[in-house]
Amino acid sequence: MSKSLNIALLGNPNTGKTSLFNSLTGLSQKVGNYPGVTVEKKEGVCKLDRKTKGYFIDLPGTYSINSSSIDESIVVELLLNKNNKEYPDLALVIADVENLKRNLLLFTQVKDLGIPTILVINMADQMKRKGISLDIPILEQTLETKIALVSTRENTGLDELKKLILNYRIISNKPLVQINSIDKKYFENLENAFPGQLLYKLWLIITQDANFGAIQRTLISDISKFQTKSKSEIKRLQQKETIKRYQFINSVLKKGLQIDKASATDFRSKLDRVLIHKFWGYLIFFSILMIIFQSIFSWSEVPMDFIDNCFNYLSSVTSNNLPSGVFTDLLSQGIIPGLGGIVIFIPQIAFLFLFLSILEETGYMSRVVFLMDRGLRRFGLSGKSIIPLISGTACAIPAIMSTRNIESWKERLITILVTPFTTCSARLPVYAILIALVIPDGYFLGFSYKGLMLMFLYLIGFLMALGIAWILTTTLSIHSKSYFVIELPNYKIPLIKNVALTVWEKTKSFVEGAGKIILAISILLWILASYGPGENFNQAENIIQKKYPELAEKEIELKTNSFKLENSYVGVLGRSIEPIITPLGYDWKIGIAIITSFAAREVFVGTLATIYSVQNDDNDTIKNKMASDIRKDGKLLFNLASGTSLMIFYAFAMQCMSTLAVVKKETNSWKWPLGQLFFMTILAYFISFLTYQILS
Amino acid sequence: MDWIQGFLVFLSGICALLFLFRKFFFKSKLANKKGCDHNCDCH
Ligand SMILES: Nc1nc2c(ncn2[C@@H]2O[C@H](COP(=O)(O)OP(=O)(O)OP(=O)(O)O)[C@@H](O)[C@H]2O)c(=O)[nH]1
Ligand SMILES: [Mg+2]
Repeated sequence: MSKSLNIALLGNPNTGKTSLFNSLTGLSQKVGNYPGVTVEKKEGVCKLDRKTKGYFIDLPGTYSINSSSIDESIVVELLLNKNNKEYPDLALVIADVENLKRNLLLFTQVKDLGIPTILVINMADQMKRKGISLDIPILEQTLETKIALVSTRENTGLDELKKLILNYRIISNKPLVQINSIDKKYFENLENAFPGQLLYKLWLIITQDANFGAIQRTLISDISKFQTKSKSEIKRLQQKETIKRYQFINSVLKKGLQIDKASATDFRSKLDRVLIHKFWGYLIFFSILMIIFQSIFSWSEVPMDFIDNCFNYLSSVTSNNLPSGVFTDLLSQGIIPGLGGIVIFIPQIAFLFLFLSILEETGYMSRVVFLMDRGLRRFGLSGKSIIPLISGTACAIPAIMSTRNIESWKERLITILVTPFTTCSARLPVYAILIALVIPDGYFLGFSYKGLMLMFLYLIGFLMALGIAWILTTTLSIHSKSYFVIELPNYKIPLIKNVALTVWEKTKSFVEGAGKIILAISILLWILASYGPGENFNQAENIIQKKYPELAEKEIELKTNSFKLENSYVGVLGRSIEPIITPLGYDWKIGIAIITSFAAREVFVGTLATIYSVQNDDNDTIKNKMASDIRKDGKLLFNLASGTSLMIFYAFAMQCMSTLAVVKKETNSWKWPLGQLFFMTILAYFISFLTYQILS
Repeated sequence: MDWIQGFLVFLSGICALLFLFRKFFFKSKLANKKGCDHNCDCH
């Protein structure tokens, strides 16, 4: 018979819970060097020995079990509800060896809940460098538990940990701190009112903010009758509890922990002084951004051209070698160019994720949060909002989910509403192709115009987010408190493995996710572009021949193709919306691309690629076909004015169904996502209109 | 030969429609169940 154990991974933020979870279960959940990476419960299985399976639950980091934000309340709910099928048989509290004192607060609380608790001291690899030494037997004795000293980075101590887990029954589950000593009388009453219940658990339920959901309702409703103390009294008792716990922890650490300051290097505080400096900090931050945008453009030029040519070649091989017919056309004009429109951006996307994950892993991101906090507060955001705003450069969806660690509902809502303005990786393909088409070559102070334009687009997205946040703060009348505790994590050399994994996973999910949608949309588009209603479509050749009898055969063919396309189903649809978008400088083809890219922004390029190959199937790259398209008034379709206006449109418009769905999920109402959709679209329309009118 | 190609185009069209339909209308019900990766809702 095989057994199974539920094991909860608890601990302060950024102590390496997810790293341990990944090492044990072989999964690859996101790890990052800043607090608040994990915001949801994640599960994984690990075989502990031949007969026992461990079900590990990775949880968001918490400083204590008195929760104040949604991600923390997930932890409390799990620990208080014995009927939950995930209720842990034992808990691992993961502590970071450099911050033991703060970490032990949570440990004593969890242990006092009567759950067998093992203390896992992580980052053992740092001990030598920081001059830390631990007396494990003494600590085990005073904390009445078993301790595993591990390093997930060097993979040490994991086997010992597994052994401790298997023998978890020998761990005492007596409380460490006598909770009734903070107010004898009150707890006596409580004990008499609920005989047989664990005192500390009752106390926790009383102190839990009732807003936070579904903790065993029956218990709570009984307890709320037992309100013999006012709210402020209870707060005072809670503080007393914390002080008691710290007294206990201090006495433990006095015996078991030694730090030799002399052998610790003080590199970190020196670096911090520069990186969060009011002037140098910003300067460094902007220089880093600048370098990133420059390299996204210049490094990926060669691989992108290569990919573009490959797809062309593939198209022509397909159409030349397969038996001719409509399906062959679908392949060579619809599917292959459509997919090419996404694959071509792999180099740029990979570079973007490479830089992002290096910034995260080194610990620099938290310095940016710290740096920005003061400034952001003025706009009604908290320092913690910067993490969604920055990770929104990858994708707005995880970014919006990561707002869960913002305690104040108002700040959280505002962050959710403005995060879609951050330039996400799906906008990058749109910008990249348009910049290549309409922004001239040339340099300003050593920076190429193209790189500068890209940086400008990222900046206006960010500034718009701030501006809207400011407006929302002053207009929304929601009152809620805000706190700010951010700790600066230690600097770490990024693990190449972690970075490579992130880049690989993210790029893969970008291509897979967008790829499937683009494949489907290319197929439908090709069909709609190759068939059409009525005389104009079916008689296209005759009509053109009559109209231009003097033209050569090749010319006639080109004209016929354009005429056919304009009268195909997409053409008819596109031309019906053309009046709305003409003032912005777009034609019906761009209109169709805007509509299809509502499924995902990067579909834009694939859509144009498909439409253009139906119109003109000679072997030219998408970019060249787009560059030579001429409008009715004789100007190039993609010129500085229309191209810039289009980029501005993509910078501000919502254009993403998945984001809407997530906002609905996180705010629990359709009111916010719909409002966001209308507002952003109108805003985008307006600013693009102005841009086009001014530039043309 | 022609009808095979026509049929294949028809088939691809139907599959594409079904896929998009499922993706954007039934996704929310499917997604939550499995413990999916950080980025899974993206697209
Ligand atoms: N030096 C060292 N660094 C580690 C070790 N384990 C994890 N880290 C780093 O610590 C940072 C935080 O790791 P995570 O696993 O994301 O931490 P977490 O506890 O899940 O954080 P939250 O989800 O934010 O609560 C990452 O940069 C890891 O690379 C270790 O054993 N040694
Ligand atoms: Mg984590």
